[in-house]
Amino acid sequence: MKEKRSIYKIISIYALVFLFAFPILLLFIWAFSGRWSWPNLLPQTLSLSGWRYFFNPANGALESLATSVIIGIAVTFITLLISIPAGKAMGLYEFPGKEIIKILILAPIIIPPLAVTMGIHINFMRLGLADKFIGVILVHLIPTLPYSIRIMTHTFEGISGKFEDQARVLGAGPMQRFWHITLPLISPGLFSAGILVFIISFSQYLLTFLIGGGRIITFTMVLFPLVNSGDRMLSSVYSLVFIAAALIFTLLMERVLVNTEQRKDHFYI
Amino acid sequence: MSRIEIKNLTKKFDSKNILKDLNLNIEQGEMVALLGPSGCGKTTTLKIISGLLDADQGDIKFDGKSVIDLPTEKRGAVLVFQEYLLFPHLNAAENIAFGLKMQGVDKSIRKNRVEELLELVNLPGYQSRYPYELSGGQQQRIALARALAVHPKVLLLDEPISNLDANLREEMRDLIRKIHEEKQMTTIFVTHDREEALLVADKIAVMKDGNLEQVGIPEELYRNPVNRYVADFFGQANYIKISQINKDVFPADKMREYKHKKNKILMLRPEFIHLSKEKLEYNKNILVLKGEIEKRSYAGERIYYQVKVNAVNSSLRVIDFKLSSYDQGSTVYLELPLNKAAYLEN
Ligand SMILES: Nc1ncnc2c1ncn2[C@@H]1O[C@H](COP(=O)(O)OP(=O)(O)OP(=O)(O)O)[C@@H](O)[C@H]1O
Ligand SMILES: [Mg+2]
Repeated sequence: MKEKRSIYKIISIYALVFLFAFPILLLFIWAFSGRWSWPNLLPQTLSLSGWRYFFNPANGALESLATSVIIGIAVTFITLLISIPAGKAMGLYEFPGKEIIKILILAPIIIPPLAVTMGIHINFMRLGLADKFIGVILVHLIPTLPYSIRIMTHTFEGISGKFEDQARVLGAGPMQRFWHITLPLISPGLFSAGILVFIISFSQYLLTFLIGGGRIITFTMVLFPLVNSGDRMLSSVYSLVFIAAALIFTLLMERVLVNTEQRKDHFYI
Repeated sequence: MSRIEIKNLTKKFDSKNILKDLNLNIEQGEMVALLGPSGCGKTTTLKIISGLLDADQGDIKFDGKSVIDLPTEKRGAVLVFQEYLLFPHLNAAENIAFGLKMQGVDKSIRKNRVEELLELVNLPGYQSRYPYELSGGQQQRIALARALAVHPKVLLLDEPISNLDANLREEMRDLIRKIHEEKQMTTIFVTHDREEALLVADKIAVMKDGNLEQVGIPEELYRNPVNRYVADFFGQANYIKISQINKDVFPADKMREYKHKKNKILMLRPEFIHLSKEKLEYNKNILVLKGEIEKRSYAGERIYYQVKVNAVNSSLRVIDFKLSSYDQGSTVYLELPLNKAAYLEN
């Protein structure tokens, strides 16, 4: 019985690894392939031309990557800044209409973004935010805030207000409580939310396209046409860079936010 | 350390009265146990004293000065919660030093204080342990040390022992008492365990439904309870309605005194009643009643009797340590020492 279960376990682990690893392996092969015609199983020649193209400043790939990263970081920062007090209010306090607000917060991810983007675009133009960096950053908050507030709400529900109360009776003022108690305790939640938010912002296409008006060129806006055009080598190069950027950001966030002692703790998600 | 006065404290939750006009005075350096059943408002009282909850009415004074408008962090009433609540991201030393660090106390002073407090709670050398590396009892002791570190004006302990298992409980109880004797900290100690209150506290405040029934030293509560609730809480009791006692059984000059107590109930603990075969000659301090043994239960060093007494229309309990043997159905005289009786409101 026990052996049977462990066999299933091993099979499912291999299946999962295969599901994740195989596509990435394929990307690697594609990214370095030169000539690769049917019916060969592997490319006939290897080449770095895709990477050369990518790193050539004239093609704007690096610039768009930088744009995406800057927007992503700004969006992550603003989203988390809003989500901390919002999550605290939703997670710790009781107030009339709380359930309705909970649903309203989720509305942006339930309603298709295209349905509202047009209206937002018109308003952004009126406010002079369209075609601008800041406009793109603001519009990215629409799909990121619901997830982030949700995660922070659960985080605050998990830690409850008791540790803050305890710090308070020991003489800690509001700012001290936030820095020394609340922030370290919610950092695992901030970490999860931060990664999610960054990746959502990083993968935005439609919203960036509409609000940026083609003037703000992010990485996805360069990547999508490549994928569409069927240039597999180049799209593989861009995709790998895309994955690497998200991964590096995750590792950096972990460094900044997650206390080594907390990794052993039950709070760590 | 301060003298604490709590005046007319009132608190409602959703229009339900949780605290009703609560009054309590605690002398400097005194340890008072707040004793009452679950849900009677003990934690609520502590939270109001510490400032975590606002009172609807009433006042709290530390050394004669009202603190009701001071925010929690400036009050200096340190509450140790029932769940310990050690900060999970800080080690034992950082937990203990937390309050001092917030006050901006020097690092070297903090270090010495931590060492001294760990010594006090019998956990020397535990500085770098994290909460998840500590047992429940150890966490509780660190929590206590953390509260003591800031030299609180009053220490508020919310059921500090009830989460521990039996032998640890005794150890912790003794430790709390030892620390109290050493530090003479003004302390309010919440518990629903009578024995714990009797063993640890200088004074006990008996609480029921948001009210204090009686405040006193343990002996006073046992011997002179003000009502049946307190009397029952601290042990078995016999109740005799004074209006029901026949005139002929009463000492004549006592009767005159009892005129004013017509509506009261006489309470006497079972172990104070003495049984005898012969009727005692007249003594104005002893009420002698004739009774018939209804039940006899042998319990080793003592015997429990239930004696039917026609003169007062009820059965009285007697605990006899002399191992006398009166058989069921036999007639006995009960001697009730009136100087050991309490007179309760009906
Ligand atoms: N925030 C709150 N909102 C509504 N009712 C509350 C709140 N806090 C406490 N109560 C109610 O107040 C009453 C007293 O609660 P409290 O926690 O003070 O009891 P307690 O004496 O400490 O009990 P226990 O021994 O079980 O800890 C309870 O009936 C409880 O349900
Ligand atoms: Mg309680």
